[in-house]
Amino acid sequence: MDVDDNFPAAKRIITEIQCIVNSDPNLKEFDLVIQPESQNKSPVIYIDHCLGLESWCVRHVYEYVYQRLVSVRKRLKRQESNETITLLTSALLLNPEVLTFWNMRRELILDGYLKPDDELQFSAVVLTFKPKCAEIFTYRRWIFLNILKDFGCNDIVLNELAVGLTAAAGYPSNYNAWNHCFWFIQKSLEHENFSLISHQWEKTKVWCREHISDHSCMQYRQRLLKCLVADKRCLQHLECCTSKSLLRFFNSDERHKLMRPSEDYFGEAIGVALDELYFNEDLIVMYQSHESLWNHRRFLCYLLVNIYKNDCIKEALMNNERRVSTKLLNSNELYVKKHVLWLQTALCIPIKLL
Amino acid sequence: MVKLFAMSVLYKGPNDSTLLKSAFELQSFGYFQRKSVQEFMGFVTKTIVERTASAARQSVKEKEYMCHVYVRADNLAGVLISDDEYPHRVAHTLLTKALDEFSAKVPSHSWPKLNETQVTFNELNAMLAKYQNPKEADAMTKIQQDLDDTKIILHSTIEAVLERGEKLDDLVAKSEGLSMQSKAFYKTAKKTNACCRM
Repeated sequence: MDVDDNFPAAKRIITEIQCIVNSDPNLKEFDLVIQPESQNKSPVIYIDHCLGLESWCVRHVYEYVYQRLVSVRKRLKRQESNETITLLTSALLLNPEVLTFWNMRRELILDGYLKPDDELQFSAVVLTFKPKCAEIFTYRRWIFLNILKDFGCNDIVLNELAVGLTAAAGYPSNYNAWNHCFWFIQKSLEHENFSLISHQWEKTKVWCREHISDHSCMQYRQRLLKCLVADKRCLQHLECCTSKSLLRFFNSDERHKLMRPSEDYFGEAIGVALDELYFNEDLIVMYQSHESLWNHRRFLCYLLVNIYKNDCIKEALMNNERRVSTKLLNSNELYVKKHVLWLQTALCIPIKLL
Repeated sequence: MVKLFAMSVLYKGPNDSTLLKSAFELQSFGYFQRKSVQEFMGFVTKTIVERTASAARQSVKEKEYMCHVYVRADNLAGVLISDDEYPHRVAHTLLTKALDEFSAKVPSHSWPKLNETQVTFNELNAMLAKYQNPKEADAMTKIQQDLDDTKIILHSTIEAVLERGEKLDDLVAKSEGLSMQSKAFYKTAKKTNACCRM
């Protein structure tokens, strides 16, 4: 039996969507527009490079495309690539979590029916509707890894990082988005491109201040920081001045003991970590009792003690953490106590709270 | 998210409140949601002012949003809708500052007769943009010190602010400020138990 008759408008709707996707290279967003009943006009809304579909028809349209796509996939029906693309576009806009549909698009790229650049654009639009959807990120990475194979060009990777950041803003603690960004950082490091890491380090600092409960963003910064302190070449491009934090953290004796002129890089690496430690302190003072900030602080303490395994750093850290804990005890009592306990058991740094 | 969404100045009359000026920053919402979100924030703003006594401050949490309200003794009222991560103290400081500036610019005898189209007070938009970063408020220490934290009444839902027997659903259904689409939007958002996310 043909399913056409249930909802004859479906074909027109999905063709209209496909036309818009094809004709607008600057399409920004897709979203559902809440409309419980048909208004006797096309449910496809297109304004200002934003595409919307009225909610009443979603179920009918999805049923229509889904049944057709399944029969194409099962080889019950001969594939007409243009028709399949139209079906896939609507299906994935409405439900991007179906891996099979993305796989069909992969095959269409390999056969030359879809262009990889257009696909990056299309999947970015889908991402605005479902910013956490892992299948979309996987698809994008697949395009880079198998088709474009280009990680040396800054513009392309920067664009990808921007897409990741937009998705991260669309869903709190969007691990998939941050993970996607870091994958690109890793790839560009493999291609000896060291400038991006410092770019992201600066950029996410602002982002962190605006999203102080975002565990995943902090974790992304932790991964960046690990790369920064591990490789001198990553540090080169950093613009911020780290010497202030060094002066603030160590007294002059400690500085003498620590710094040897031959190892500038060593001081710089610690300086970056210390910068972050002070930044974290500012945030904790401003925003009380946020677990993500305290977890991040743990990581920073652990990093400082464990990279260099140096008693001098450990002592300076102890003094600093004592100062911070005392200052914040009243406003963040629970977290300060947990932090102090953790310092004692994990890093053997004893702190007496007054 | 640390974010300010809307700030409004109202006049609280004996029976209802009139909006004198409002500013919005809704870029973080999807294009097709902005209109409904804005209408809804306007609705909440008005509703809450009408249920706050003169010379009182309240902070109402609703899901991940916070609605701060301050009604002065002279019935000039300010409402700030922010994300719940925005520091509450700073939010109230801002309201004080906004109302001070408003009353310095618009004479108080005209408040009861004015409506939104007759008021020019673009400082409100500027404030909303500037104080997205709460650190900017450090300069307002004088107001911050005068602010008595203990006088701010905290509520954990909008329902808690409503009068006995009132229901938010009924108020939404009755409201004239909300379009049909926004009412449908409210119902859907309620069903999926997520405000502004489908």
